[in-house]
Amino acid sequence: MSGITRRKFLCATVIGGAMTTLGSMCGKGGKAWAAGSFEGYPEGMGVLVDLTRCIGCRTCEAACNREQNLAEPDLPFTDQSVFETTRRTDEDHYTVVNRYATQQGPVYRKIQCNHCNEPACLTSCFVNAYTKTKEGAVVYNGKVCVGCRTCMVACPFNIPAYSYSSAINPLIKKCIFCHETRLKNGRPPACVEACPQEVLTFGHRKDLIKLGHERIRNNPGKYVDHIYGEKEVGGTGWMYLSATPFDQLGFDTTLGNEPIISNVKDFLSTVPMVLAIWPALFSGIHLLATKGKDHDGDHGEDEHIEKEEPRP
Amino acid sequence: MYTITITLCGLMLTIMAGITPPAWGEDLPDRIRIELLQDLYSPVTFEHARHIVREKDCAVCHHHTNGAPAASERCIRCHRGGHEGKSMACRDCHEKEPFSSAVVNQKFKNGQQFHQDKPGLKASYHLSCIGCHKKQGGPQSCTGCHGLTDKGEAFYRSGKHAPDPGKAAKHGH
Repeated sequence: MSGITRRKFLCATVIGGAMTTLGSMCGKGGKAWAAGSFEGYPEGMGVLVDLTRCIGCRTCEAACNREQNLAEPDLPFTDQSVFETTRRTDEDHYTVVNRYATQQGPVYRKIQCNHCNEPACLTSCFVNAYTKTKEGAVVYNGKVCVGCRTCMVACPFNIPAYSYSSAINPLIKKCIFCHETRLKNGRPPACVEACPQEVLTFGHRKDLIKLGHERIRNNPGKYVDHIYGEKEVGGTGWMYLSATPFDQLGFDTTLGNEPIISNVKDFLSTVPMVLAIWPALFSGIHLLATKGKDHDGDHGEDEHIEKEEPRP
Repeated sequence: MYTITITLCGLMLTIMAGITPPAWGEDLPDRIRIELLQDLYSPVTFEHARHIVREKDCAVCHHHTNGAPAASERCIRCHRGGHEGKSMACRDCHEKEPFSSAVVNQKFKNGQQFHQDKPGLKASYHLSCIGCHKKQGGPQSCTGCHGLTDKGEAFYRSGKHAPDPGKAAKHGH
């Protein structure tokens, strides 16, 4: 106790305060220092989805079903009546096509995991069940999953589904970019290969961005001048081109360009600092506040305090 | 003066007749059986002659490969004429496997400024055919042009591979 003098305490407080300020400044200005931003692997693959080409044939759904050995569908994949409702991905359908009525006629939109550069499912998972592979796929390891389903809440596109049908071992089910069977061997996913219209263009993500902008430029007036997913939530592996404004096709256009983790990254980066500084800070305050109470102080500075606050 | 003009006109006509590709009709196929990609669907017998009667400009489908000016405004900047391809067949330019590592990895690295967004063979057929059929009122459904094979029915779970009709009712969706 006697080791901590008032001078040392004040000194520590000033240094601590300076560090906290520095930390928060770095947190805002230079995120790389506080907590790294990840913009995807340089050679990561992606798919450019051109909605102007989709004819709603559902071949991609059938191809996905076969490739991933999913359950038999309720209706044949040639059945168009499924378009009467808006469907979402589930444990038996890693990708679905929905139809949207627009002034220019029906527009079909395929949905699946967008394989974000900085996936919210991955960053929200506290057992690290998710991995972003160097090929660009976001894959899931069911062996470590505890079934908390935080990823389902975290995903800005509502993609991960849960196999509620399994009582013994329920797992998260979602598109994995055919990583195991195809992508890691340099082959395109099954849906891309099956699509008759090349709605889906497979390639290096950086090439697809170039290609997308080129397609917009070469067809004046045809497309909305935007690639959905180029920047949204930090960039996604799967990106969309459309002739109809994206918000009319069920796309969330309010997501912003920051990865979901950025909402809490600044806060989280201060946690270690709080853990380091607060114990010292409050120990100091405690020691200082109780200094004179235990025994009579005989140090010059402590006498000064006692004079200011004489004990009753 | 008058004679010279007539002579010039005559000369030009002769030249124009000369540069018009000679006697296309001789080696033009009337029907083309597209079977290179057959798998889930049976081959398509494409009525080439009937399509020529409807769409007289070869360039709409064959771009600049027959030596005539390209149809699209963008292509014509380079292919105003005389760029006859070695082949006019779709399959000789459009890849059967457009997303193989070899094709994907050379994108934007082959030194070409154009032709980067070239669709694969399957998409070239479908984009051209369905694109035009939409405008002209041709068949647009899958089975309007080619029937499903048994393998195709198994793939789409249709026909004799269709799920039990009671299943949908049971699940209620």
